[in-house]
Amino acid sequence: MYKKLTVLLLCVALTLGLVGGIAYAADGSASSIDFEDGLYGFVGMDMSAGNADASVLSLVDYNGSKALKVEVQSKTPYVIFEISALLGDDVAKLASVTMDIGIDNGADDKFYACSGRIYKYYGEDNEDTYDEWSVYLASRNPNTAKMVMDAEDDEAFIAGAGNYIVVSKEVDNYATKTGGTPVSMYIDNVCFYDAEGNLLTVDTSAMFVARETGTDLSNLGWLTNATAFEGFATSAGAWSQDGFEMPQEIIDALVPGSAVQIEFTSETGDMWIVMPDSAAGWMRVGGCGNGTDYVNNSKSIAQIPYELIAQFCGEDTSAWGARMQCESSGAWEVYSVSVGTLAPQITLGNAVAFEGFATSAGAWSQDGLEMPQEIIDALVPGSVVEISYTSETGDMWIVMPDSAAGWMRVGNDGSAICVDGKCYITYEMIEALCGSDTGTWGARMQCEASGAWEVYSVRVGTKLEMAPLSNLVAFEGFATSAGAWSQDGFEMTQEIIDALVPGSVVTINFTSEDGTMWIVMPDSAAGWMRVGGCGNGVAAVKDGICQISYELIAQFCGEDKSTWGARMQCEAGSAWEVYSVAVGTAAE
Amino acid sequence: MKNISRIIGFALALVLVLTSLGTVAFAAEETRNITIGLWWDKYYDSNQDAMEDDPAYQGTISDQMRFDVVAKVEEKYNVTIEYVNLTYVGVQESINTSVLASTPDCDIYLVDTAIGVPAVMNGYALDMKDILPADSDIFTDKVIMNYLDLGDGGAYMIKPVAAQSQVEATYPLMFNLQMIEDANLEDPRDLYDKGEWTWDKFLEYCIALTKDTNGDGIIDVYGFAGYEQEWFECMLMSNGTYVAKDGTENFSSAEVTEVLQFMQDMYLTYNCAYPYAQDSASDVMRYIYRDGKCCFSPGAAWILAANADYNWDGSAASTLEFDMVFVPWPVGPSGDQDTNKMKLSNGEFYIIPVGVEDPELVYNVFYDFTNWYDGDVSIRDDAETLGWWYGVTGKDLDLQDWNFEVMFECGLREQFDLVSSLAVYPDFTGFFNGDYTPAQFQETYKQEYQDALDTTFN
Repeated sequence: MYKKLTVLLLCVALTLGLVGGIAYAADGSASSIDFEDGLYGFVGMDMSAGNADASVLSLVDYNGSKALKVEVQSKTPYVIFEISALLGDDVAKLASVTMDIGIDNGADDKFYACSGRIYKYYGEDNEDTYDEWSVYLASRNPNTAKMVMDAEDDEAFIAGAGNYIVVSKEVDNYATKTGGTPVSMYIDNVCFYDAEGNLLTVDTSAMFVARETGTDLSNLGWLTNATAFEGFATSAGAWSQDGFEMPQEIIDALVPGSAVQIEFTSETGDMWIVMPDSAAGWMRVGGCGNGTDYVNNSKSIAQIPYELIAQFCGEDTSAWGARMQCESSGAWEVYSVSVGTLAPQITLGNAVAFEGFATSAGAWSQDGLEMPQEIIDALVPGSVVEISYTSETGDMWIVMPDSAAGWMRVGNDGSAICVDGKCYITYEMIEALCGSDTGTWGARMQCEASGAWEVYSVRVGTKLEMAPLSNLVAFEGFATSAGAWSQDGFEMTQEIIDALVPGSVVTINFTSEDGTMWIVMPDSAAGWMRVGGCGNGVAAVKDGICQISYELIAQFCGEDKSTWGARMQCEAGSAWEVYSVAVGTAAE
Repeated sequence: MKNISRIIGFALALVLVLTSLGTVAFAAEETRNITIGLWWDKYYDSNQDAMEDDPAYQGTISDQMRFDVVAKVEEKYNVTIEYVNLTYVGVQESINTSVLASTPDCDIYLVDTAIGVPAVMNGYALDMKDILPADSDIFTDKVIMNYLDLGDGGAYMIKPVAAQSQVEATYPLMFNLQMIEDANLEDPRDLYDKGEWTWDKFLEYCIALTKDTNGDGIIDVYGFAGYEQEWFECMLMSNGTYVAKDGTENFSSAEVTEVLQFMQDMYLTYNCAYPYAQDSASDVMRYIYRDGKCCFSPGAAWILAANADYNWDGSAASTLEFDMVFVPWPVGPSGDQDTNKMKLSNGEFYIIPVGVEDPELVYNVFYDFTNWYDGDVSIRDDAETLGWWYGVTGKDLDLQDWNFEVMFECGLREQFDLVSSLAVYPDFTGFFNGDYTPAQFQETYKQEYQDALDTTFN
């Protein structure tokens, strides 16, 4: 009897186990994306953030099935999922997303917790907010992350608006503790749900579209009136040179104030030119002890000013020889070379918006508005008018139609600086034609161009310049974040202290909610001191780069930098994050 | 067959008994691993073999004591101690999932108010008043341990005592001592001692100290000057009230009406507050005292240090000629001198989660582990480290000591209030200009506070 009872119990247990297993399998198998079809063309890397990593994506076997592997190279991975293409019109139904996220152990085979975000770009204008995920214990690896659209806050995806989501890994305890390469992460079992909890199906043949991130002009000047060195695209190995004979238009463009601009990649991130036929001898310029060129943080653009070439090859360009070559300390490739006028990038401080100035007109037609008092008040010596625009011919200038000096075009003679859809006309340019009394400039300001044009906005503010920088000394380890009006920073290394000399500039790679950034010298003998904001000077800020000169720090902390204290901190008027800090030498 | 059944039954019973005995024996010898969940790498715990394992090691006595206490606690309680870095988001997720499931991942969690207060509200944290005897240090002398009083009678969020963390972010009221003396007014410190330092007396002083000193018909010294943020925060506490300490906004309460009315009256009725800067108020209003243009102002060590007012390290060219003295804020009509809070809580706390095994053991281990200085607070509160906190507030040593003690006392009375942390920015400039009555001001902004609280706690 006992035997029969035991057998019966065993059978019941087996049956229950089977039923439970089937039920579990039924619950665990449903995903919108499980990567089993081998397709992952709908994901790609978002490189827009200052700390974005060019992670390598692939499909691998992970935890018993196919998963997306995000192999992190060095920084923070931001993985875009093209939900609009995946879901089509159903993207408007998307209410929540879940996915399994796993992480590798560190190189020492120990588990280190990680966390990150799922950013949701929604609505007509791709507004963004985020939910957070973590893999915090080895026993919770992988863990299920969840993103929810908050209907009460009007969060909703819109069909046809190009909405998307981004999965990031922003805290990596392994990398933080050891300094090693951040660990890889894995994404699997991505589920898209509607508001009723129904699983939405996707088209996994959808394709990722790389985002336009803009050109990284950090540490560089603007190159205007550029002449292309036609055909200059080549590559070579480390310490090997290659290049071309300079055409006449390039030789003509090489004048004082000009610069050679090279778009490149190299294994080591450096690039310089070689003038192999120079009368002064075979000559490297911009590296290897012969000066230092300006290179952006992405190590993709280098600028070598005329003056640097002249310093080593002589003032007479006819003695520079026929050829110009490129070279790097690592294997390199150059995509283009051009020569143009090099000028500091302009940005505005204390900018005042010319409210309502958005209009368009045809070629050689003018349109504009009466200047409000705040614009008139902002037009002072040292100020600049910034116009955001497009025109068929690329040019733009202003017209002061009511000026006492007469109907007056300003900047149409090429003196306006027009770069990347912005036109800058200084107070001094207007003053030169309309007089120093703004009361005689008339009521209106108009725009005009030689081709059909459209103006989107106009601002007036203090003209600030972003200096081209060379000889950059990195403030190692300076990467941190804080809330609005909170400071954080580090003790200055000896290299940084040594780099802080007259003519040097602190350059900060950052983001902040309101676009502001300045530094704080908390241990200064002159007292706890903000520099570059809050009434203590104005930092030059543009496109996520903040520059504060040595001279500005000295103005508030004293000429003797030994009294500046041990630490340098950052601060902003809103939540902020700093990715890197360096000190460089500004172009004269 | 019957004998075989009996033998099998006996064997099974014997196995069961032996297994049970083995389990008991194992349990008696088993060392418990006490885990502390946090979001950065903290030292020391049972995983370090050498003091140099702490990247911040400097070879100080405190380093040695913090390293040695691990072994002492291990031996005393038969435990090991392990810091587990979960990441900040991981701490939140661990509490919200594992504690909810009654199987907390960690025995104790480091939290900030953003994590800790919701955890308490959700019932995930243990009340130390249910765990510990009433005469425990945490409830009495608070030498080693304190807790954040959320006003609900419980003691859920515990905090190791340390002088530096205590005096940080305190904003006592400060006054120009020489102005008080020149006006022949009784010292506000004495009034506080007698329980007579009230809003009415404070207003009386501000009016008396507001003067046209050169007879040109223009007031050039005011009784008070202050920046809206810390002024409002301190006035709330002085009236025994708050704005945002739980899921319901208190901005619309009668007690806050009293606060707002008093602040506005100082401007519009009594004209004893320095004209409010229309731009860059935070940079202007905090430092009016430096030119002798006001007597009273919200004080803080960092405010006095910002311009090296008292040249504490000898590197400044000059010092202020007058002394600024700290005193607790006066007591409002709805406040109480004995129970008024004096510092908005900040920093980190610890919670012992519901469901943890033997929470009293966990607390005792943590208490002894925290007490690495063996009760000698002079080691914990290192004089050299604290020298800045003393030195920046005055040039007279007695005044330095006094000001430090006021900050220290303020730090003992923490108030949890998210009033300045919710990204709600009432138009105080307009309010001081008379653009709103207090009721209109409350009506305008109460929903913003409520919406922010809904987001925070949900």
